[in-house]
Amino acid sequence: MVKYSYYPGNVARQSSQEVEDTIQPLCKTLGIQLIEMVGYNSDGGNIIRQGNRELQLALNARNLAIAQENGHDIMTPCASAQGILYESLKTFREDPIALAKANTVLSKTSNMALNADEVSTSHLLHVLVDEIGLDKIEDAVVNPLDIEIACYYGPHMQREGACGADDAWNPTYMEQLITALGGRPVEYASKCASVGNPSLLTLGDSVMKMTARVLNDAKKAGAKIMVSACTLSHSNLDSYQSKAGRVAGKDTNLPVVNLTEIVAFALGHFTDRFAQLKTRAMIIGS
Amino acid sequence: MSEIVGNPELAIFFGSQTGNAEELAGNTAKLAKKVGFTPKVIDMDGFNPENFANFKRILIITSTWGEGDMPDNAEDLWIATNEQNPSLSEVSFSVCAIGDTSYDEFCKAGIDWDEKLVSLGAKRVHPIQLCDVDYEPEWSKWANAVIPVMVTVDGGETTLVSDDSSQTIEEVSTSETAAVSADAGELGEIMSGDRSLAIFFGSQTGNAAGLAEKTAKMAANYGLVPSVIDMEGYDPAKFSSHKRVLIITSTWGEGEMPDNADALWNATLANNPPLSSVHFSVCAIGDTSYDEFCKAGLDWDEKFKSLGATCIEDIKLCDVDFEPPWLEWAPLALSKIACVDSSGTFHEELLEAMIAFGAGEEEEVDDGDFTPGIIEQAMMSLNLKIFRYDPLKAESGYDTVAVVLPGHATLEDALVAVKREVDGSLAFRSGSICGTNPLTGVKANGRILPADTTRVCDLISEGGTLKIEPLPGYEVLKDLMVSYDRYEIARAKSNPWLVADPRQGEKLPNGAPMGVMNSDEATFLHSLADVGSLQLVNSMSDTFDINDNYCGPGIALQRWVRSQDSRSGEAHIKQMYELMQRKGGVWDEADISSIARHGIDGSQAADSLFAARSRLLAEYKFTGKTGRLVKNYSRSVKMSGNVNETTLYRSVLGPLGLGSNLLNGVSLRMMLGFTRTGGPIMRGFQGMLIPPAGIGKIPDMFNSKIHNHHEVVAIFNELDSRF
Repeated sequence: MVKYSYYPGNVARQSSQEVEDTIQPLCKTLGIQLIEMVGYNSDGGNIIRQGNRELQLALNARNLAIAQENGHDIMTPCASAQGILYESLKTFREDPIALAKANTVLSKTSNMALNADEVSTSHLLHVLVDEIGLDKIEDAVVNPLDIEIACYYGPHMQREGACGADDAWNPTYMEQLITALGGRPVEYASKCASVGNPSLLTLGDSVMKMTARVLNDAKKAGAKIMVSACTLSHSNLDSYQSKAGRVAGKDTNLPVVNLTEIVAFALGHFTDRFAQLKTRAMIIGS
Repeated sequence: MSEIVGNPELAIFFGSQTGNAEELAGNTAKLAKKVGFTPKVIDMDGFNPENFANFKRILIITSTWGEGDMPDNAEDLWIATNEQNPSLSEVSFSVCAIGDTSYDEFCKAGIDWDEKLVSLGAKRVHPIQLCDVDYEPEWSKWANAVIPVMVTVDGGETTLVSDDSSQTIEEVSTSETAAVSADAGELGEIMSGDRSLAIFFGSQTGNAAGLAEKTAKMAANYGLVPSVIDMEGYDPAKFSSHKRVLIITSTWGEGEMPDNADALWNATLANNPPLSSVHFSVCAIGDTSYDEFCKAGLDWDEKFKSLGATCIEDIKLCDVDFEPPWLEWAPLALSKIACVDSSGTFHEELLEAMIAFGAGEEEEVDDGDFTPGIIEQAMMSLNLKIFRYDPLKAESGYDTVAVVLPGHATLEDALVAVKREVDGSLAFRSGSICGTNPLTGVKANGRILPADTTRVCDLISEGGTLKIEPLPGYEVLKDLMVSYDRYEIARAKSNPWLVADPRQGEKLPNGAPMGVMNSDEATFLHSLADVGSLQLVNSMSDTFDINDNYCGPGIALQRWVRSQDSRSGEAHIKQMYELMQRKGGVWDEADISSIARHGIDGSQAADSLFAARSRLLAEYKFTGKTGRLVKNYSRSVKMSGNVNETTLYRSVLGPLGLGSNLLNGVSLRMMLGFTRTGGPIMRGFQGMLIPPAGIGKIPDMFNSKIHNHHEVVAIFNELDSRF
């Protein structure tokens, strides 16, 4: 059994409950034990950083310190959370002054101290491919996906050191995973492009156009479903897709699900939801 | 290194105050020893000037002390030399002078020695080299040039440099010439004797002159001693004094000579000097949109041939993007013309060796204290998938070309190879031969990179495909070439110049003005925008090519730096803040993380953009949508430990925004469970049923507080009381 401190990110236990619904059974099936990070807090979403960098660093230092006390590295299902956690950890490893400041705050407020070398962070995708292994996942498939799927990575975790052994610029891990799950990955240009989620509520047309670009590229490449490794970006890609299509004048109708969902479905969980997803993909198309 | 017979003596005098000149003298001796000299390093202190004449070859390396004074160890010799004035008619010499340009009497001691030795009858076989405080590179050029010249002193083929050189001759590169100290192998014979090369330029806008200088620098690799010569005022009768001639000329107007070449052209037509002993080649710059494309160059080519000169390499015709074809022509022309010996005979059999020599393939690694790193990489087979755009037909697509390249080749090398071997119409921006041109940027497998300094092996492994596209966000002119007008226009509007308030200037005790910024401050300021190319930083943003009104992160960085500059006036700082805050400014960047992933430059730019936003939020007190987003996001985290999207949607979008979501289908998709893939539909309806939730959103309208929530509150209270 592989153990990870589980950081749900900002939305898995709020607006995107489907992530929480699906990650638990899929991890159980694949022998991943999720250790609760008791009292974890928001990573700041790079929104708090806009107001105060040290504040966001301190909030992440607290999360990292909790995982350190757990004795297990962090795993998260959100690419955005992975990017922020990784960048914070990198800052602490490279900048002893930033680490010292964060630890001063932690010692005053939480009675914890972070040792940046004793903890690391990973996205679920990289744990599945690097740690669990595609062979084991393939063996566990109950309902092969059997459909064309576009994989969306987003930019947040696609940087050297943050995405396991995958290529930061031309990643293939999700495509390999989809293949192992019996699906047919499609290649498209903008799989690492931003959909502007941090500005979803503040910028209108730009974010819609960025969202439409990704969806339209995937659709043109023949995708019937899109799978997002970023639970935050999923909101743009799914809830806002009709609006994005209208603003950009592009065809954006495409069912979009989170990575945890598609893996759980293939492993035999939530067969009703999987059936509904396939119906959407085949009949409704969005 | 080629050996000379008899190990002749080479006297190397040093005048040194701090030891620098002495050290250089020692290093010069090492170089001289390698070519077979018996070098003798001599301290000027205690030397009798009568003994100067005992040496046939003298090198002087001296610093200058104080306000143009001799260094202490040279003072007595200088006085004695001026008193005794020994005859030095049998002496050949050259001087390397070390100084400091911040002093009025820059390198005066060296210049004094140089003039004195000439006045005593000595032959200056190589021009004096003046070195600033970073003296090593200049010394190195001088030493590598002067030692081969000293080799020829006994042979009677010493190159003399006249004091009264014509005003039309720019000796721009004589100090950088003739790296023949490298092992020339079978080329040894033609490497001795006269190795002069005359590079004439006819230039209207400076392009041809620039290429001539670059060609001269390159010529040193072939053991040539180049002179760059302006055609203006040149006497055509002197053409025949050169054995090797290269002509680089543009064409002006409707096939006319450039202004500086007009008189020479007419004089050549009138005088028709015989040029039977001349080997030459022409590089012509023009514009294919004119009927008389490259006519000036073609005229020179035909004229030289008609006068009996031997064309050693066919004329090269270059369009407006002239550097790539010049880069094809120059190595070929130089390697061939370098095979012309001092008698004017072309040795074709040596051409292959000369090409290898010029490319540096026979250079030996100096086994001294420093061993250079190995940059050569193995050959790689790869596919280049290159974006093509034809502006005339408005057609675009990709060409795929299989190539084999050394791994250390740059992206630009790869593109040049394709242009040369496959498709001469491929257009891309080319850097200088020294590299680091920020405008050569391309998008290569998703990365934004300068083509002239990025190695292929750092991007791709053997057998892979390298997709090369133009920089996003800029108008594509043709293929990979983009227009940077968008950047330039935005920059002009952004006023990132220094506008200081009137203030009392700081002065040194001697009255000279000095800067008012301490080094820490200057370093900090520099670090805010320490990126290779602001134009490329723009293309790193995924928003820049979506939003035409966005000035781009590169412009934002400049505004941010100027706003943080302590020398900026208050009104200017305020103007910078306003430009950053308004539409098109830093808030138009939809996702800074799309920039941050682009290596060191992207990370640096992202840090600065975040810092700029922090400052603007403080300056404008969290007003506007962005201010409300940051404030309410932070407050919701402080209140419960986690972000509450429900209150965030409501507070940031407001009633109108929520109403818009209701009308444009966003809320409908949320409510009908499309975001939950078949999850309980009541989750979607909760947001409608129970205020104050955002419409159609969020099951947990009121976050329950996290365990040890007080710790998060304490962190906020510790670091930022505004939330």
